[in-house]
Amino acid sequence: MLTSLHIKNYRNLKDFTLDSLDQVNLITGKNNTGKSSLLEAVAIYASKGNISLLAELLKNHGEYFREQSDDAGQMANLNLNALSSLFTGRVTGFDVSSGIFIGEAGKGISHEKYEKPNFVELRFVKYDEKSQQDTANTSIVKQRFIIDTIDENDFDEYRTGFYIRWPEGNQLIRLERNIFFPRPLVKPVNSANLEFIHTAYIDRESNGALFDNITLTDKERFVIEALKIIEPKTERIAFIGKGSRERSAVIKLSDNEGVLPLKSMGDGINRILTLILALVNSENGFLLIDEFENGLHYTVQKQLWEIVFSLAKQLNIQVFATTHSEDCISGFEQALNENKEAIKGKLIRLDNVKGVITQTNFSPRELKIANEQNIELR
Amino acid sequence: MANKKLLVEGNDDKHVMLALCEKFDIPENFEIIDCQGISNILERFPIDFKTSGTKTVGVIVDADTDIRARWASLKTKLESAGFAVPDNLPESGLIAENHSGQKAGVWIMPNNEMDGMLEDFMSFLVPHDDNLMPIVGSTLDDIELKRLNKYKNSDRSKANIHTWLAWQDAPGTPLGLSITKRYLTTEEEICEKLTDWLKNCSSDLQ
Repeated sequence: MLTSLHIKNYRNLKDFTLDSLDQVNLITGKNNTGKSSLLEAVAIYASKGNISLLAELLKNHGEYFREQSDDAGQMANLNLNALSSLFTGRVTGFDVSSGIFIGEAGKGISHEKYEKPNFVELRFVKYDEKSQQDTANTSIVKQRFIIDTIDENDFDEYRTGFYIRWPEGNQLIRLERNIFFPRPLVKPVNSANLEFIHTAYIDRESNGALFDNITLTDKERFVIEALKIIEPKTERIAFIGKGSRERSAVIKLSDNEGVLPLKSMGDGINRILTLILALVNSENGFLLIDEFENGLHYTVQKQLWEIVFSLAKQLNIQVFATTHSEDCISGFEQALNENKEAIKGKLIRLDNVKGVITQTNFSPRELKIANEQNIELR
Repeated sequence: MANKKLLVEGNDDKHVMLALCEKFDIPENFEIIDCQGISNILERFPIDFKTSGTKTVGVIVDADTDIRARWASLKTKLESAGFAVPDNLPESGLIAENHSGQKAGVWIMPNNEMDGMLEDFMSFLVPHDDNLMPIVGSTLDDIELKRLNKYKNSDRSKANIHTWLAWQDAPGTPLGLSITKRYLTTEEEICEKLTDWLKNCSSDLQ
């Protein structure tokens, strides 16, 4: 669990610190205050800079290009341009100070090359490649060296790379080839259990696979209980259809012999299925939800928060969610103040003050007073 | 959403302030919120300073029976919101600024010095040449002597002003309207002090 967060140079979070985090963190704020960027930064941290995740983020931002080029220099520029969108002001510096750093606050960021970092670092580098034959003359070993101090005159002599460093390791990605298409060529590293529900996810392609992970376990029961918030007659669900990507959910209701496509039952129940499948698949990890309230009527939000609190406790999950909705904040407040498991949660509001993102935290007690007295916290 | 708020204890306070704003051409660029009681105000106003874009929060509360205690509890909460405030409440009401560029205002009824409430402030506005008020006073004395009064002693000033209002041209006129209808004068020094404080509170920071 992250107890605090320090983010440098990630999108509009140039130098941003959250001094304390709880198990369930609800983030609000106007548009362009960095709410989504904050979730993305947590995702990058939790996934240890996983390149597939970066590709997914670039896709969501419309920064992902399928252009191909046989020219290595041109390909490097395409990759550089896409990746630069992750950096504050699209700055493409090759020095340490231009890098993205995401880690816990107050632990200090050390730039020592060989020290074990306590953060995730992403940055552009210039590197040199040297080929050496091994002593038995049987193979050629390529060694790559990151050039930290570059003489301006030598700038074009070196190749361009993207350097990812995390506590247990690092990776140098060559940008002269298409790193994303058709799917990331770089093997993803092990990452923590992480589920990221984006704004638009009412239904999610991966739901079938996520259901397979938990079917016939206790967690299947949690899924059914959650669906009962919207459809109390829910008995069972299943995924049917051919091919792993084309399967869709069907639901069996207690008063109906046959099964019904879940899609026919409205956005609410589909969004809840997506949320709950993500939740039961992120044990000991992180659940990130962009716009919690999407597709949900205000009356069900408190009940859904109750389930989120209960499962976050049972499965040891840290939750980060964003919202624009007063009803969502109100449901969160009631579930938080009534929860018997003593789960800690808070509301964090982000504001954009002349380009600098600031934070204001609200305790459960403050949320209760605000809710009772109709004080708008968004 | 309003970035300037004036928190008051009740509906009467709200309408008196609205009437004064109209009378003195004070721009209504703030939201007057009836918080339904002093405890709600004390609970909420530190949170109001934390809401997005809030520039000013003013509070008007009754001193009731202990103005020093009332000021002390407000002072503690203002200090935790980053305001440097004096030990004693200025008689012209408090206006303070914090480092975040926010403004806080405090007015304790009736006049920042005495114990009492909104209704005491209103009695100050009864015209000097009025002939009914002495009779209201002696009537209240009389029923209190005979133990006929059903109001508590602490509510005497409410009984006082509302009895007086009951004997005007339109009996039953609420406090706010009694200003608009000019039953009460607004030329008293105390009224000028309050409206100066309101103007100061609602003006933009330089």
